[in-house]
Amino acid sequence: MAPKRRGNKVVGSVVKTKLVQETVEVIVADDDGLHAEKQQVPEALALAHPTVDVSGSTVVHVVEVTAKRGRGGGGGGGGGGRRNEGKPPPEEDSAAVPVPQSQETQDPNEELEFELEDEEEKQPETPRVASEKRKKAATPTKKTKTQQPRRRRQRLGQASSGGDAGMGGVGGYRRYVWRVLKQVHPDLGVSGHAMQVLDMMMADMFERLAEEAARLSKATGRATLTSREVQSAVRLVLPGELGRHAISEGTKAISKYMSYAA
Amino acid sequence: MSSTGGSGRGKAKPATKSVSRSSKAGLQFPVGRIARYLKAGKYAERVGAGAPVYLSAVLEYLAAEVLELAGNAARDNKKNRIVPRHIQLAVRNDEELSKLLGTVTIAAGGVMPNIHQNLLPKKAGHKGDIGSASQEF
Repeated sequence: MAPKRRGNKVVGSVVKTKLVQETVEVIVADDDGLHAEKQQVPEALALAHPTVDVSGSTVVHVVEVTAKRGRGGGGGGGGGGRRNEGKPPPEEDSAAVPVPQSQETQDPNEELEFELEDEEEKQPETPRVASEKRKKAATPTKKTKTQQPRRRRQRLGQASSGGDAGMGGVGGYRRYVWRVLKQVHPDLGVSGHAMQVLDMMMADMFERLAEEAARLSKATGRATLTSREVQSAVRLVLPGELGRHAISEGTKAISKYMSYAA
Repeated sequence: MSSTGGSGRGKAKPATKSVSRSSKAGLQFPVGRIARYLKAGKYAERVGAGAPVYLSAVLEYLAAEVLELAGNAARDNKKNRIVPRHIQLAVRNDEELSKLLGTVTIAAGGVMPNIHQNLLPKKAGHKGDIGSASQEF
């Protein structure tokens, strides 16, 4: 660590190195109890209760996982019960890394937390995740346990889906167009691209008619958009016979709706 | 409170099954959803009860019109699935729909088959008509 300078005087420098040795031993026992297997399960570290020996600067995790034969992913959080079979538990000597500290003592739980996050990052990753980690490494942030679930959620890509009011969000008019198609041509289908075209056409017609009706209601100085404004909007937007047939369909639907006896 | 039990507000009515507004109007398109879009879009401060019913009926009629013509175009091409090309052919061959969707581009729709008359090759003339078509100055 570089010495702290105030003016031209060297006030002091604190250099502290720690050698952390980590031993992971996972014992998987079958239901029959005939044999036991030793595995290296990196995902199980975040789930188990580690035992820490701080006296010799050594962190030892002893994890015991019982695997059921019914499920395939008994050990390692769904990673497969038979992975790395017959291998001895690895002992990794991490290189001596200078740790900048302002105090002489350090909380052992905090050090353990850093080790657990390093174990998580050893898993195989996609290029997108690797680029995200490079960006995160460029901006140093203090790692806490509350940030872990948030980072996982971003990795899974859970984005909130929202759409314009006119577009109709995710579903739109697709299921209703399908019902009308089955009324008109029961033996025909429709491709995905054609359904998207029809969905967007319905949303476009909705916007045209609604905007024209809103313009009419504002022009007459009323605050309510009624079926009268919609009928006038249909007359203005739809040309010729198309408008006349649409008006008759709308009037028929209104009369049937009003005369409905619950 | 009355000692007859219940909620104390007269006779308890039997629970009736809810009926959608689309089925009340005899429509396939969603009346309630369109009413929600009209309110959320701030088209007006208030929305009447008949406006979404009317608008749903109009949209359903337009969808039925386009789907019927597109289905006919698909059958003419001996296909049993509507693709955007069939929608394009249906819309552009109909005069009113073509006027309604004149400024609309249909994705993957293609164009109408059309070759200008002047671009077509001229028919080979008869032997006796070779010199008669020329003008004399």
